[in-house]
Amino acid sequence: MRIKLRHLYLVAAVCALAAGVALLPANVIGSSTTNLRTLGFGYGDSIYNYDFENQAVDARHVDWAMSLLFYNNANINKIKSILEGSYWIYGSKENANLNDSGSWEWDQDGGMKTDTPSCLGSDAHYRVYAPSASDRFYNPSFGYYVFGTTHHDHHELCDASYDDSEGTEHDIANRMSARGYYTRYDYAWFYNAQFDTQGNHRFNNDGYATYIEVP
Amino acid sequence: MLAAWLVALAGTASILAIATSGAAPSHPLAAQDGAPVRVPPAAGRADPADPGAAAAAVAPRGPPAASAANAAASRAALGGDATLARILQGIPYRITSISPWTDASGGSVLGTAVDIRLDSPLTATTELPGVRFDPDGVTYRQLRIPVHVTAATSFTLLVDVGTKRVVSAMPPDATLSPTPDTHGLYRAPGDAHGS
Repeated sequence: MRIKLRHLYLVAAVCALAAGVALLPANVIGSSTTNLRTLGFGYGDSIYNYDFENQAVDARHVDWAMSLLFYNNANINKIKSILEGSYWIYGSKENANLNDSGSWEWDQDGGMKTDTPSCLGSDAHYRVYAPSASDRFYNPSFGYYVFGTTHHDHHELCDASYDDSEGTEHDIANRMSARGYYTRYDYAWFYNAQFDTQGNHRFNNDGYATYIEVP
Repeated sequence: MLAAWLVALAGTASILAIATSGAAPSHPLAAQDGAPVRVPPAAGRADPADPGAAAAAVAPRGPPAASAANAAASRAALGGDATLARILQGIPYRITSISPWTDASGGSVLGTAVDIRLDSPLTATTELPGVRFDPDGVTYRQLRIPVHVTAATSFTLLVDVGTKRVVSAMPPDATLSPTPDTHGLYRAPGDAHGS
């Protein structure tokens, strides 16, 4: 009985936390970049190399640089399932614009974070994107594949700031490699190297994306 | 005559193929694709070339330096800032970088982001200045955040060159822990903005 009660408390706590996070509105502050461009993956597949605050392609309202690519047999849920032991709480949603063999569309993801928002704490946060109908791209060169952005959240409930896309990219590379997934850190140039501080948004992205094979 | 034309045509095709082999992607591209990116590695084969290598070679590798005027103004602000002096308790420090700090649009310089390294670790219960941006990403409010700092050896400072003050001074999160007063600073519901 005591164990059942503990389970109930746990479920209630998780629900309350999820409801609280859901109340956090999407960021309306946007950051800007001079690097915004499309990347081609062959066979008509392409993406913009940043995600966006809103569903509009606008270099003055980007969020983070694309820095991850999971390939071979990846899909959104599989990536989140692999990483859920460390990245377990939902984040606020952002938007990616992508072209799956001929038509541009939007995908939206809140991604997953390593901790709940707090006044002094920080968490690593990634988002992954793919055509929303299938939750994955496909072409013969990459197999089934998805993209991701990375960053750190700091002090979200007090003096919120955001940075360190490289640190979270590295963390995910390490975690995937430790689980046996073939990982090539900083493998491909994604044309989005950016180092500047805009408002509470500090870019330090080296422009290279990490590729991780997911069988 | 026909044979001569065919030889010439084949030669021209060969020259074109050789001349463009370094630039061509190793997989079919559609017109709307944009910049070609490196295809994944394959077992037992050499890594494919990165089509972006030339662009990568000339890309920035770190933050731009602040203008000379803003760097000088920031150094002067640090030297005369009573809040920073109170926080650091006389511990000497050196500046490791000064880069521009703009508003969220990137178009208007607010001041500088200054990274400093302390000569010895700082442990204290204190109030740190912080900034909380309004939804426009341009204006901000100042906070005083009560914290325990444990063994901090570096800080990131934001210097507002308009007011000539240090408006944010934050050591790494791992060195911070809350005091009972910290919790009063939590945002009101609906006032938070994720990223």
